[in-house]
Amino acid sequence: MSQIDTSGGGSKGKHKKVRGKKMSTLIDMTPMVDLGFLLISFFMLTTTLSKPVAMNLSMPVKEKNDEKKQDIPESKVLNIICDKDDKVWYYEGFVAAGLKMTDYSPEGIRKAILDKQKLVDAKWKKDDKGFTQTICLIKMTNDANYNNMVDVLDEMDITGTKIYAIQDVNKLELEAIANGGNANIQ
Amino acid sequence: MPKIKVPRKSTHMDMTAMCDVAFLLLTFFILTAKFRPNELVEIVTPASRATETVKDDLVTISVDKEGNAYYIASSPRRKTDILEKMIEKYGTKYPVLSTMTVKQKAQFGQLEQVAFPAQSVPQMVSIQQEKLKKWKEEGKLTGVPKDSTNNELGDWIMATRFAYDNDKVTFAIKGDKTSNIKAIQRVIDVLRENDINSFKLITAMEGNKD
Repeated sequence: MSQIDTSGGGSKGKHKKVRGKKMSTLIDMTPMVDLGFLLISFFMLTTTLSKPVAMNLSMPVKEKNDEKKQDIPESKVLNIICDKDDKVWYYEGFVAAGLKMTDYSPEGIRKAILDKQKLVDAKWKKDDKGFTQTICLIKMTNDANYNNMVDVLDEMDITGTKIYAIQDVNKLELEAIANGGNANIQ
Repeated sequence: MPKIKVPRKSTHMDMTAMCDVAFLLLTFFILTAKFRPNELVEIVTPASRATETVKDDLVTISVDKEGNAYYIASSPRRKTDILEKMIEKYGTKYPVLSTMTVKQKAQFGQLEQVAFPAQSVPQMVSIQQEKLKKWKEEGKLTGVPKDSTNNELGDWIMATRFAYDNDKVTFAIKGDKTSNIKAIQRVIDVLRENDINSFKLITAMEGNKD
């Protein structure tokens, strides 16, 4: 092993008494330490990776009548509609026309939100706290899944959009989607 | 002149102390680690950028792939309180609950989740988790009813709020990645009908994708 013999020669056989070699009581602990730290690293890595996190979601108080609706400027609004097969549609303003289809990648919906933010920031300036005033209305068709919703909420966080709401998709939007993005207005 | 003899030193290091430390840490981490409870429904949560860790005293409503809802309260004492409130408030609606024995109520406290209609709670409390799991696989468990005609989930939520009384209670939704949005939105609606407008979505921590 890695030990160096330290017995230092000793007496050179004056008395040739046969003795049992004195064994060291030291055990080499190195492999045991290795094992200990290996297990520690294993447990630490596995415990931190499976930790769930919580995301806050606040919904407006349910109103029985729609009288308390707030008027919002049309130019601030970006509608995001999650559809089946991880497709996502978006359009600006209130008129469900000219819907564009994209995906959940950074070049997809995130770019659309950021582009809209630039337009809004140019027109309305940022608010006192430096946040954009863009309003995102998130809607989900019946075929969307929960992952889509979390993805979009995540995008809100990434792009720093503070004002957003989850709403029901309306009939005109569904028609427009069925129509490949174009409004079906006569 | 005598030669100065430098004593040869051993390169061997005493590893005992290091070994002690390693195993002490190991024991500490193993003992403090909380194991994932044996969950009836396997839910693969979507990943998000959220960083807030989940606290223990959440009341969770799980939604699985099929869109069934499961009601999960954490501490046994709370669960018994919730059951009492449920009996007190909806005893006439669910008459079987008011005939539950003390033992059955205690067993309810040990129950991992409510995965069945309130009618069958007295029979279900004594059934082993493994058996429930088998039933779940066979499609016999359909969760807590949450339709507008039979909104038991809403009753459980209301009972929870009464049981926590003045203490703050936080509700969380734990949905599967693939569960349909309708089911999730229904759960959100039920929460909102009971004046809970702020809640948490439980998600997995996202890897450094961005």
